[in-house]
Amino acid sequence: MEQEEIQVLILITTVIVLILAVTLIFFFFYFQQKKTAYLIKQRETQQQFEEEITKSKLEIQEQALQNISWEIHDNVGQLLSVAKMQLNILQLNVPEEQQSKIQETGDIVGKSLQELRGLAKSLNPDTIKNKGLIESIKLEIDRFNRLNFINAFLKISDKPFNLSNEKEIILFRILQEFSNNTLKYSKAKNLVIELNYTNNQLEIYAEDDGVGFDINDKSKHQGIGLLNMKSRATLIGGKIDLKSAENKGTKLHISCPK
Amino acid sequence: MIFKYGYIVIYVIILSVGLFHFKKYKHSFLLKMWLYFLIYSFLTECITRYIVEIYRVRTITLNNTWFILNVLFYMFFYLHNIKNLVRKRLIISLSSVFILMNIIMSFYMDYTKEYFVYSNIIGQFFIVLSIMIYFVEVLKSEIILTIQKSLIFWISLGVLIFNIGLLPVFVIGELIDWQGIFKYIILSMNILMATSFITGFIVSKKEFNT
Repeated sequence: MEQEEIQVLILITTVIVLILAVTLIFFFFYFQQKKTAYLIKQRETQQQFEEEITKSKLEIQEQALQNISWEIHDNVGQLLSVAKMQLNILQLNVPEEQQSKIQETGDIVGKSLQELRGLAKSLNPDTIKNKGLIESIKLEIDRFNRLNFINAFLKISDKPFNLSNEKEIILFRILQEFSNNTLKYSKAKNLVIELNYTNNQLEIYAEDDGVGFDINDKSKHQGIGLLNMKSRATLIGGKIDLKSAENKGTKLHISCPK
Repeated sequence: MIFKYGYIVIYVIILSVGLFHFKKYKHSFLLKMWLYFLIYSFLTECITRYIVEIYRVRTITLNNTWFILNVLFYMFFYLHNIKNLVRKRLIISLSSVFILMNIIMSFYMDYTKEYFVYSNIIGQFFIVLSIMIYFVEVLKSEIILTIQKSLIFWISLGVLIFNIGLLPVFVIGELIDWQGIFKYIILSMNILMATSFITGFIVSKKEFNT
């Protein structure tokens, strides 16, 4: 081949190779950009959808709890009040030796009434809205202490601030779930709940000294509502961490942004 | 004239734009290293030009050193940009082959008197491969969405065009005695690469230059 021909050949090869390379690169990058953007959008839609579902589940749950709470307060509560009144009236008409027994029964009915009202309050989302998170937890702690088989205690750091109603209800329900587990399964003697307010975060620690459980045993997660707690916490942008081991108690840590 | 001093002018332009936009990438160790490498390349270009013009001797040792360091630098550059372990290992193997090849070649050729043309061709091919490996990783990740705002993409594009474009002419270079079209292609590839680098300096954003 002539020198000149070789040179032209090289030039043409170089140009073709270059054009091919650049076209391919831009094509692939463009294609992949579109694809990735589409996938991300799809993932976001899916997430939004799941969030909506969790939200409506919670709403339904809160509504149901409110109905139960009204029912307890207005229906069962009223009936017990009437029963107590009837007992008081009855007390006047019975012989002396039976009065103390009736008095005792009246007291039990009164106590039941008080417990039911406490329960109604703790179930009703309006209580949390009106009283706020700290007050509601205090009420709940008092209720536990009245049961007389656990020592519940609440610690609150300086400078507490208010969170939105939605956040407070969700945090309260998570703590309620945890405490109910403690009462039902843990056989714990002590339950400590700590609210630690920092600059832009609320850190909640809840701890019991009960029998604990194997955190790696996934079958238990459903029973204690761990998934439920997690999806609720995600809804308010919080993080949840549950630690437990057999015979070593259970610790819950929630961090929720302001 | 343009073939003698053109490259120095190109380097001066790249480095001026690069230093002007230095704050966009000064937080990134790799990109700073890359700038230092450009400065080293610029110095090599100046010194070889000076020696050739004043003392009329060839500067093969300096050129060979630059060839080898150039390949090894870009291997190192992509090794640190890639996260996937298999791909990292691939690049490490490529660099090992390249180093081994140069050691073997130095037994048969005089490092100070002959250009290591074949090792250079293989080196360019390896750089192209490393960039491809990097691109594969980028294409599979979410970085792809903002890739045009990252300086590394424009560096890769420039270096890829430069090395792919030079491969044919280097392979057949001996036949045309490294003259004629060879000089034009080298100059145009340098200009293309510089354009890509400068585009990168200008369009890249600080938050994407990590």
